[in-house]
Amino acid sequence: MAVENVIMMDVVGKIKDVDKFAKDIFLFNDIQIVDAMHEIDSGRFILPIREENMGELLGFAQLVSGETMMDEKNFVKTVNKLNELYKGSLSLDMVSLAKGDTDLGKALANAKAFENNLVLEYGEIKEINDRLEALEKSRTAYGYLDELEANMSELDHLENFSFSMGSVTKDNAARLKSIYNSVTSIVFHVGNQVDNEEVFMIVSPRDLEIESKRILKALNFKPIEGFSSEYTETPKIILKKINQEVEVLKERKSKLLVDLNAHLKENKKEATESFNTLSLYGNLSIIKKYMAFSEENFYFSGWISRRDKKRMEAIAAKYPEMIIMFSDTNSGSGKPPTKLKNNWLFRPFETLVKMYGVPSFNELDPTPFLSITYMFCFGFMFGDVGQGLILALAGWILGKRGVVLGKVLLRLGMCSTFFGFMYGSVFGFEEVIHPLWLRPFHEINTVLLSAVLIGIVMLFVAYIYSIINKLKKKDIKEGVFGKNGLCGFALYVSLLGILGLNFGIFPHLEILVPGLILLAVFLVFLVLIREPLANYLMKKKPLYEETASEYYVESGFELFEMFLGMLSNTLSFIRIGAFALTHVGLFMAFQTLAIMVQNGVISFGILIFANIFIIALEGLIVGIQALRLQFYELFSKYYSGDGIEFKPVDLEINLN
Amino acid sequence: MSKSKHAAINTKVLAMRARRINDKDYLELIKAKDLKEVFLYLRDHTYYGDFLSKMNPEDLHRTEIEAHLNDLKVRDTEKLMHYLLGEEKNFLLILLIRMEVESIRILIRGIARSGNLESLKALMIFSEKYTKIPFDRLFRARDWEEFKKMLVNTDYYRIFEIYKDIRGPHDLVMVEKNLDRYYYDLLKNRLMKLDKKSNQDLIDLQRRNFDLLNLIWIYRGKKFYSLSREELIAYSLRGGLELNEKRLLSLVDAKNLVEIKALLTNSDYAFLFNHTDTIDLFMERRKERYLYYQNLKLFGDSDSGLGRVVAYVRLLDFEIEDITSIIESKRYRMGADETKKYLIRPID
Repeated sequence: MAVENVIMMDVVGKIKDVDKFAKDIFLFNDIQIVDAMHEIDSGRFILPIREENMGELLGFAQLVSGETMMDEKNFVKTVNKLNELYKGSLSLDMVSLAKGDTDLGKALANAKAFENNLVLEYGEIKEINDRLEALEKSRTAYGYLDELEANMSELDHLENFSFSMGSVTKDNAARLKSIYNSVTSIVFHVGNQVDNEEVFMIVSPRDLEIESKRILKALNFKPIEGFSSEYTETPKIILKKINQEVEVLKERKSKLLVDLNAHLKENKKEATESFNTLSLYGNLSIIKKYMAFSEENFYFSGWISRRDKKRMEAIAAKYPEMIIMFSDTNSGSGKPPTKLKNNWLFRPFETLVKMYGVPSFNELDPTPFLSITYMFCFGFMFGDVGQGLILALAGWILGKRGVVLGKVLLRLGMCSTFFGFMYGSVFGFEEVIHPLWLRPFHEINTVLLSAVLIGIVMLFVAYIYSIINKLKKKDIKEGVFGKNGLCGFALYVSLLGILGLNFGIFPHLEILVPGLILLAVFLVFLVLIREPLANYLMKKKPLYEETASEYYVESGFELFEMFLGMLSNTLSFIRIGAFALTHVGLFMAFQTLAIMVQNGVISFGILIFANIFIIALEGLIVGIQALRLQFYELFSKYYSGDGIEFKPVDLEINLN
Repeated sequence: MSKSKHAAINTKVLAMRARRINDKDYLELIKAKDLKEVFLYLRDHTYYGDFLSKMNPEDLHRTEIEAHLNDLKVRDTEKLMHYLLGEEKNFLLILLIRMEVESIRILIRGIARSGNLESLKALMIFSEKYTKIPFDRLFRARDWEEFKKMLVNTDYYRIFEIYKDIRGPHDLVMVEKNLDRYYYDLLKNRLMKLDKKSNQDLIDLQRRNFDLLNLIWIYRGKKFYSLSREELIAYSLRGGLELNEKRLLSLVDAKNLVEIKALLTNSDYAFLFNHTDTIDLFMERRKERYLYYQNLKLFGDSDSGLGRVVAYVRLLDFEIEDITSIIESKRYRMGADETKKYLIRPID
């Protein structure tokens, strides 16, 4: 089905191959990497004990996690620098990477050469930027003292006093204020910092400096940076000097930038190459972080789809001394992630499923069923050729812009259009085309009844899904005897049968009624005693997980809930029909208004507004109602959604 | 209006409190022979069972059990946060931050001993959902500098930044005090943002807590650390109810215990010092028992605001502390009557 089988792959290889192997993994992409150290620690990375594996096995004893060894920072730094220079216009080109020769040494040399070409401008800009940053700090620092008329050199060289400036939090400032009078120094409040801390200047006698420092430390006093002995004048003059220097530097910088840009344009091709290779190596380092290393070997683990097994083996075959092992999801390799696989029609609906939860690996993927029924319900409730096409168009545009739900909308719109033909409705007008099936408002009972019938069919399918899911998990108690299991299903069918026969739908079969009633009673009894029954059949002791009396009280209430659920779940589907009617009714109301105003322009306006209103508001409501039916009426029956999503390596260094 | 606003959460809290450990359970726990029996009783007969089920009764560590007991508190607090929004949710978050602070304290002590932080993993209590601290990476810190760097994006960095080293005993005490002060300042500031009218009882009780903490700090600071009055003030908490800034200063200036007692004659807190030779031994317990009764009252009376919710979590705190004391009493082989003396909840 649509949940793809994933298997755990464990690889041991020689360290000399690690870069090439990591590159293969990176290009392969469709693999979820797992921390190998963690796998080994938890005893899931199992090597067969054989003579030829001795080296690898012994390696276990001296393992180090890749995290402690790998450092992608150097690559990232260069990549970031390139990216910064080209303002993000470089992008990773997987195709050329796959065939290109990616010698790290060469790439680094290239990047180096490239850097040297730019070093003049770039280096100086960098320097200017650093200097500007420092100046900014000094500007803030001296800014606190701008009313001081003394020279800073005098302050710095006081014989008997020392001064310091720093900040404390608001709360600590209050504490400092309450000991102003007894503190062994003079405290001036000189301003507030951007991060809401208060800034103080402390002048204390040299003899008592230690004492003051102790108190300040107690208040978590953090010295302000930016004071420098090179500034000797009064703060006012210093600030002026700083501002002048800033102006000069900024001018120089803009000139350099012009030169730099010219250079950059010339060298774009080389830069792209280096960027590619270095990004690759940055990513490889990230992959290697997940590996474990011994002196000679590296160990790697990851989830892949079962159908990729051959391809992975082919990759491993390139390395003569590599050991590659696959283990099944069932053999306890932790909880495998779930990889969904659906065709183009259903794929966008995966988003809706994931909103509820990712299917567990041993669960059926509800996406196909959800897709079909969701589209059907939406179309049924919102059947209109014109409005449907508008929704589809909106969905198409959104989808193109990368909004996943847009693709869902496109499909819903198409279904709406289809039902529009069935109902013969174009932008609400029923006079334009002939209905292929019926006009909802003319045959209200048919619409409502077919809604319930559709609901019953959908519930049938949900029951089947539920039974399969539960049996797959070997849950006999719920799968066979549970209210959403085989017994529940049979009970639901027999109750429907009794109902149908009583209403005389199949007149000649009425003799079956007593039999069906007996069957139903028997099934109810089975559901009631499902836990002890299942445990008895599975030869598990004790029969009850809690005390028997508690179990039966609970189970009794559950029966009650089951009956209520069957009734309400079924009737809930009436809403499909009801909304189909509302859709027509709402437009009729606007149409009446349009006729009443007796003014061509205004009625036209009203009808336009009606269509917009219906598309936006009713479209939304119907979309929600249809989803509600899925999540509440159906998913609650058969779907647990407690899986983990399969996340392929999609590294690409996180720029910035 | 505010009553109905908190109707749901207050009902939830009442239901949660109904599962608490009762006197009978306490007696059973006190009666238990050893750590294992305490563990088994907690696992099989109390609501802590869920959190203890994964532990191996043959290989128990006292502190690990305590950490798991606190997991219940994390879960309950997280649950309660679902019912709240805005400032109120923010305030409840403070209860989770308390545990985070305690976990950091454990790690800092580990670093001060130059120990391996990985071995402390099992003792960490924090809310995975709400914590902003990269605990996973913190364990790998090899020294104080690395540890600090990993906290750069959290509030804690500002606290630790100025400490170059914490291996000196004085430094460690001060860093810890700093951490506490950070927490209580945060608590105070968020407390002040709550609606005053509907939370008056809660606010008053929290402020009483500040009073008691200050009293104990000043008393101990004088007696054990011989700190200067400025340092005593620097680490004292703001926002107390009865002990305003002026009274705090006069307490700090008091020359001896007699003067402190005199200053407290007409206050609610005289009970801390009205004993002859057991002041130090039971000081903490006396404070906690006082707060226990106050929180019981808050839980019972408060029907608007967050009072009942916070009281619930605080009472859970006391319960966990008591269980911890009982566990410790097994280690020192104390008798039942002796054990009861150390419990916050009075048991007869």
